[in-house]
Amino acid sequence: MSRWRFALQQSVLVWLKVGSLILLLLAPARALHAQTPTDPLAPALAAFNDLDYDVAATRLRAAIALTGAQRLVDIDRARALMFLGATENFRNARAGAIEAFRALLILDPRYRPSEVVFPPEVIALYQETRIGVRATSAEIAPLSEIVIPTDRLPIKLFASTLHDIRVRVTTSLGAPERILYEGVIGDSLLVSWDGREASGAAGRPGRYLLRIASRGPGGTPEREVQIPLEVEHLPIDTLPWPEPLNARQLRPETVVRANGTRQIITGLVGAAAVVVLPTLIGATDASSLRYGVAAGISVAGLVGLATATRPQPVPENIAFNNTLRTAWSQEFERVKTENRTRLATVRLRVRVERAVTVEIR
Amino acid sequence: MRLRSFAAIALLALPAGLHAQDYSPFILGADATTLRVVRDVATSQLLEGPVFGVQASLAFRRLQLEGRYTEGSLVPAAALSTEDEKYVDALIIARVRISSYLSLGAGPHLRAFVTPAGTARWSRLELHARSEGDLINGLARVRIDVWFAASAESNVQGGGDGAMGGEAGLVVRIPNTPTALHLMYTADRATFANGGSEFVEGIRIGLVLDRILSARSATR
Repeated sequence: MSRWRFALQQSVLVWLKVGSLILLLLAPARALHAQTPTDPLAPALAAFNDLDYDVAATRLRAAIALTGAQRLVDIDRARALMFLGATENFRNARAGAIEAFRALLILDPRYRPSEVVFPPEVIALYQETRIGVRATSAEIAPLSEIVIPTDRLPIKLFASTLHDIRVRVTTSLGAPERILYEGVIGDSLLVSWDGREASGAAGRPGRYLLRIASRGPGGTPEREVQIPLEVEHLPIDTLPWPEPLNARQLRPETVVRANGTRQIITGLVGAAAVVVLPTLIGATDASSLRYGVAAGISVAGLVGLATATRPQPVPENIAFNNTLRTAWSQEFERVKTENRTRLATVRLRVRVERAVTVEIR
Repeated sequence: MRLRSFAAIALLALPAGLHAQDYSPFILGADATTLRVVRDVATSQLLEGPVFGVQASLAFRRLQLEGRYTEGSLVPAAALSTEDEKYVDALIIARVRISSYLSLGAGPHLRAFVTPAGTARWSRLELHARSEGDLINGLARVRIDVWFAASAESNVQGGGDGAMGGEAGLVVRIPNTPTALHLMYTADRATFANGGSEFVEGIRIGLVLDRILSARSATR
C-alpha cells in the first residue's frame, strides 16, 4: 500500500511538473516576451501573471516611479502603465485604471493595447479613456539641417483622439510666436517649420520651443507638448573663386618675329632694284631721280629693321587668350552669383531635445 | 639677250624676303608721274612732263585683273626736241598668285605719243612678274614688278623690236585708313627695228584705296 501511495505521489509529482511546464509555456505571450533577466517589469509582470494584482500594482507603480538613470524608457513605461491600468481594472479600481490609461495616452497617444494580452473589458475601458483624453505626440528627427528658404523641418504629429491643436514655435527671448498650425488633428498630421520666426526672419542661434497644445471643446488648452529645439547657424559653404589664369595657360600675345635681317635684305633688294633697273633693261641715260626712291626704300628698310625687333602682337594668341579670359570671367560671374545666392540663405542645425508634456489646467 | 635680262630682273624680283602678297578684292587709285622720255632715234629727243593716271583692280582668290590708264603732256627738254607730245598709256594685266610672294601676269599694253605730225603707237603683249615684301610690318612694303614684252609692235621707226621694263618702290599704308601711298620708280625701254630705242622712266606717286592693307592693320 505504501508502495502504491509512493508510486501515486511520484506520478502526481511528475504530472505537476509537466503541468507547470505547460502552464509556463501557455503564459500570456505579451507578458512573457519581455521577461528577460534585465526586464525592469519582470517582477511586476510575474505577479500579474500569478494573478497577484495587489503586488503587481505595487511593483508597477514602483517601476513607473523610478527616476534618474533607472527611469523606465518610454516603451517600458507605456507597458507598465497599460499593465497597471489592467491591474487596477482587475482590482475593480476603475479610477486608478483610468488614471493609468490617461497617463499612458499622454505618454504615447498612439498606444493601442493588444487584444491578445488584455481582455475586452480592459480594452473597452482603455478606448473609453482614450476618447476623453486629448493628447498629442510629435515625431521629429533628433538632428536636422535646414536651409532657409528652401528646406523645412518636418514634424509628424499623432493624436490620441480627434481634437483641436495649436502648433507654434516660440523663443526664450520673448519674440512673437510663429504659429505653424491651428486646427483639427485626427490620427496624425504633418506640419513643418521653415526655420523662420514670426517676423519672417531666419531663426537665430539659440533655444526655441516647439509647443503643441491640445485644446478642449471650448478651445481651452488642456495640455501642451513642449519640445526644446536647439538652433545653431551653420557656416554657408560658398564656391571657391576660380583659379586665376596663370602664365602657363596663356599664350604669348606678342612675339619678336624677326631680328630684322629680312627687312634689311628686302630694303636692300628694293633699293638695288630701283637703282639697277635702267641698267638691266639697257638704258644708259636714266635720271638720278630714282635714287630718291631708292633712298626712301632704304630708309624704310632701316625703320623696318628697327621695328622688327619690337614685339609684335599675335592675333591668334590674343584671340585664344581672350577666349580663356572670357570663359574665366563667365565662370567668375557664375560663382559670384551662386555665392551671392548661397550667402542669402541661412543654414540651420536643429537639435531636438526630449519632449515634455505640461498639463495646463 | 633680252630673255637673260628679263630673267635677271625676275630673279631680282624674287628675293626670299619678299612674301605675303595678298590681293585686295578691289583697288581703286589715282596717281601722278613725273615722266621722262629719252628717245634715241635719228636724233636724240628728251621729253618731260607730268602725267596722271587712274588704276583699278579686281581680285578673286588667286586671280587679279588690273587696269591702268595714264595721260599727260610732255614737253621737250632744252633744245633736243621741238614739239610737245601727248602721252597716252593703257595697260591691262591678268595676274595669278603663284606663291605667297610671287605673282605672274600677262596682258596688253598700249602706248601712244601724239604729236601734230602724227601718232606713234606701241602695242605690246607683256609678261609680268611681281613680288612684294614687308619692310615695316603692316606699314610699308616693297614692290618689284618686272616685265618682258613677248611681242612689241610699233608704227614708227620700222616697227618694234622688243621691250622690257619694270617698276620698283614703296607701298606705304596710311594708318587707320583703307588707303595706301605708292612711291614707285618705273622704267621701260623699247627698241625699234631700225636700231633706235625709246626709254621711258618716271617717279609715280599714287594714292590707292586698298582694303587689304586696312584689314591687315586692323589685325596687327
